[in-house]
Amino acid sequence: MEIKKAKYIKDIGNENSSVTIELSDGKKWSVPMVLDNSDYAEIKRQVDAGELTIEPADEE
Amino acid sequence: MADLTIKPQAGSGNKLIIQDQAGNARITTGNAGIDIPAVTGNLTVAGDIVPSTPLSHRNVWINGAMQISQRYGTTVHTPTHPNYGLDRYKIHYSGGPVYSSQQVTDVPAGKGFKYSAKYTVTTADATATSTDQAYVKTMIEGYDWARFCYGTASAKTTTLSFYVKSSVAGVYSMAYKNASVNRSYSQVYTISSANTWERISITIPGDTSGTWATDNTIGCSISFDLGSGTGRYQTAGSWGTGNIDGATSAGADTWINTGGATFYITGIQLEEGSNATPFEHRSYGDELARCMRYYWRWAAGSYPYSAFAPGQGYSGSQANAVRSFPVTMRTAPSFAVSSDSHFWWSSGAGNTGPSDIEQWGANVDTSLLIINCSATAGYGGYLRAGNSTAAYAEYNAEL
Repeated sequence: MEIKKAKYIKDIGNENSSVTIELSDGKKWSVPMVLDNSDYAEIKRQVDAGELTIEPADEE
Repeated sequence: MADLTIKPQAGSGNKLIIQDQAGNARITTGNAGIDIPAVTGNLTVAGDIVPSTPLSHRNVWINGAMQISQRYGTTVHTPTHPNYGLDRYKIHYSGGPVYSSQQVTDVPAGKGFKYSAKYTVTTADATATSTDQAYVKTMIEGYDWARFCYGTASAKTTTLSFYVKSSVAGVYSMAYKNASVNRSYSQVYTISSANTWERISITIPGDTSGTWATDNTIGCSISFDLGSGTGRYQTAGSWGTGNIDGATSAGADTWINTGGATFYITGIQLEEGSNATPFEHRSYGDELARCMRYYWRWAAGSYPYSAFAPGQGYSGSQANAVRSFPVTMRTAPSFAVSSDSHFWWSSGAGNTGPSDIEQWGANVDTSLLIINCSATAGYGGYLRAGNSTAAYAEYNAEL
């Protein structure tokens, strides 16, 4: 999965709940921060490997 | 001793009757059992039928008849590696080769299938290396794989059967592997004639070792090799520890090196036991629901104003909406839409085009959406297709 851009989304409790990613094909996905989700597992793998940085969420 | 034939001395309609003293029909060997010959007439059983393997729900493979293609329908598609074609079939290619995927109506005659999956080489692997990948795989969820007792002394033998047709005859292969890719088994099969449907059956002994998930994660990955490099292979017919896609298979290697080569497959069945039983056809609705546990798509279809999710205004620039899923998904899914511009937020008498639609959060049953648009806090509304038959939203919880 070639991720061009990643950004957190905060939930109503002001905690990061999802990550919005934009792929190389231009598609945008909202990915919940759940390790069973294979997209999030891949995001975390890339972050842990230093291949991806997730931008902070917009402030309310 | 030669065959023993017992038949009435005269009269073409006279029967051979075997009874005990009480007049009950009785055939037994007194030892392990008896082979029952094929019955050509009707068979009525007064007692219970107790099979050694399941009579129904035998097939743990989802979308084996290639009925479901939510992402691309019957359109030919070349997914980015690795990604999905027909539902539940993940396509892998790397290191040079590229092939396309398509749901087609070329099927083995008289078997009741409507569709097969067709794979076509679009870029041949002219400079193959040992690490090249070319295979199609499905992943069976641990909850469904648990029935085979892998990783225990009771591990079951399974039989994988399928109908296949290739423009390149020869030896091909397949493989099982666990989620940690440290337990694997490969086996070869032969496609005898080019461009001819054949049914293949492969029996795999259960693995008494290793860790095999029995929850909502990957129970077993099963791949059909289409010409991966030799580094992705393992000796056929025995359990090993490699992260592999198959075994040495000259037919598959030729296939991936041949531009325009085609490979069709359908009627995939994976069941307990050493025999391939007739394919267990399931209803379209049943198969669709099974696929939706991993991926589903809402589409406006022919009605360009179709409603998608009810909600309410949260502020002057944001609305929230809730979408329930048609089936409980495997895990909280990822979410995407065709285009923000394909949707409207409808509230009161007005429709506004959102600048952004994202998923705030989700569980396995519902999704909470954020819609950046002109809204009025506290006012009810709903997200709908905005005069667009191209509008769709998709949820992904694939393994």
